[in-house]
Amino acid sequence: MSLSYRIGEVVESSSIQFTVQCYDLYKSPNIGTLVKCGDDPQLFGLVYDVSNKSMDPARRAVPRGRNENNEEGVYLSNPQLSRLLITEIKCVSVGYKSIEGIEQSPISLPPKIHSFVLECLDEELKEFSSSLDFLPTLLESAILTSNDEVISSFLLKSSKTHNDASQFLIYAGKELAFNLNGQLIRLNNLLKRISK
Amino acid sequence: MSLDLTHTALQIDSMSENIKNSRQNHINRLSKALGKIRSFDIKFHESRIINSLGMFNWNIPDISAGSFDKFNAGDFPEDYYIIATDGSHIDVDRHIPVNCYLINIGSCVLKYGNNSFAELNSVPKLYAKHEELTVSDRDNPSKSISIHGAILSAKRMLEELNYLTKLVKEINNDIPILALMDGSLIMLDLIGQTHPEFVKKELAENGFARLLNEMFELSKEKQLLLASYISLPRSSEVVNSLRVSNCSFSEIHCDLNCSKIVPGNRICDEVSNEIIDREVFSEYLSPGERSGIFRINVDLVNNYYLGNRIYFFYLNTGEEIARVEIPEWIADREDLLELTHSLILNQCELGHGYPVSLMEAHEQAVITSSDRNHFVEMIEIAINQNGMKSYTSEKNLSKRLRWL
Repeated sequence: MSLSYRIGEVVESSSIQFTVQCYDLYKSPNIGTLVKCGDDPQLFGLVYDVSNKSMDPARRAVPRGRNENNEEGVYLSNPQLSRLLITEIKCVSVGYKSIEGIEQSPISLPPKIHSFVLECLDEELKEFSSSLDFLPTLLESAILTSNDEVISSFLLKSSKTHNDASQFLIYAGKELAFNLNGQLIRLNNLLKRISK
Repeated sequence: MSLDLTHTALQIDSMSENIKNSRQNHINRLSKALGKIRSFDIKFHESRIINSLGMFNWNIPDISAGSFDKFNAGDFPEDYYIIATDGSHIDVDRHIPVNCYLINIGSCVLKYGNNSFAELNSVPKLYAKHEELTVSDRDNPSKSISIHGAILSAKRMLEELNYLTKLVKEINNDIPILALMDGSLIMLDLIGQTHPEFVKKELAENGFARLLNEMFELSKEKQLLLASYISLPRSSEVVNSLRVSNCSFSEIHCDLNCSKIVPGNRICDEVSNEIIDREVFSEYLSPGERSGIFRINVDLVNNYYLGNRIYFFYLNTGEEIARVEIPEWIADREDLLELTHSLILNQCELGHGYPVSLMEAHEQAVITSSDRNHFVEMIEIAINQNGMKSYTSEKNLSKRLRWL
């Protein structure tokens, strides 16, 4: 049985989204990745933004590599950087696990600060994506920086966990068409992305 | 009401005009001081000092034959450690309901070369017990003085060195370690104040000097360097020592010869008045160069440092003139001195002008005004939770409420 990869911990949360500080600099899941956190209940989130930055918002990173031969040299000559720079991901809440199974709607209570955040296993992604009831909320979500990129990435990742990837993408395409009635150009672009 | 900036601006204009008018005099004195350094005659200086019979009133360092030599940085090994500590504190405040203070020690351990890494940390410690709030005379416990203000600053400096020593002990490696403190190796807070003898004995002799001894012992088993770094130093000890050779009197006796002359008009003022060391050394040293060493000659060190002598040199970091203070066991060994110079210079390059390890230790140590407010709130909550009534002064209350 494969184990989920623990990405980091929740450092900020609300009922619709949460921010995760990754344990390791530059080691984060891509946008569109399904993650889980908490135990009671377990929450699901979709990564919609990844950022690398200074841990202290008042301290900007400055160029340090003028005399270095390569980028690795910058980190070797400045070992403190690994402690002062962080990778952070933002996730939109897309559901939670209840006794009845997976519910694809935001939960009323946000995850606790310091909740461990793990990348979902293929089986979990397959189970979660067997229904796409959360798509309308995600398509209209105002918090996402690039909704369609997040959705198409999620659908492509999910398709690989299903026995018949094409069949899954056709199902996803139909759901998109239903929810993007009247937005032909946007629908067309999304369909192009997931048919790559 | 906020500060009346219109009135302040007029005063600033006037101040600026005065500085401009005295600028040429300042440049002339600086030029003469530089000339004195370039032609410095150590034998003449020493003979004049002997001749003065202790009647020279200025505090000057011991100068040796190589003090005004210039040195370039050398190579340094690929693998080494830099350890730095810095501290900040929340002083005793009579406006809060508990008599206590807090010292926060920030530290930075940087390992360079193979398997490089960094460890940044801060350790806050609250002092609230009676024995922690006072310094007592060991020979006469009825004599004690409360720790606050300058004594707390000295206590903090002691804790900075204490933590630095602890970090050095934790490194079990045969590669060079530079242990770096911010500021001076001299407990300046205990100088020039009317502190009782037992305070100096407790903090300087039983505290700081014993830690210096411990560091010296550690240097026998590790490749250890110890230094403190002063950015933008304001000292004028070296410049004041030029007064000795510039004195025109056959016998140097400041009180007898010059007590009636207005400062600025004395013969020795030609090479030193209102000039500070860093101004002279910024002209004297090229980027990367350091001066020779000078021995600090102050009563606190001579009487309370258990024989530990402290030296200093000036360093042109390329961005500023810094003063680096070192213990005698570094000053005595040319190889350790050169390595200290090279590593500190490299730290300044990595830190864009200021040692990166000290910068990070400071960042760990700093207590913001918001932290200070939270600290007071936490104390008030804790007091209330324990069924006691918290209080503050009416003055503090009026500042918080700001009635109309």
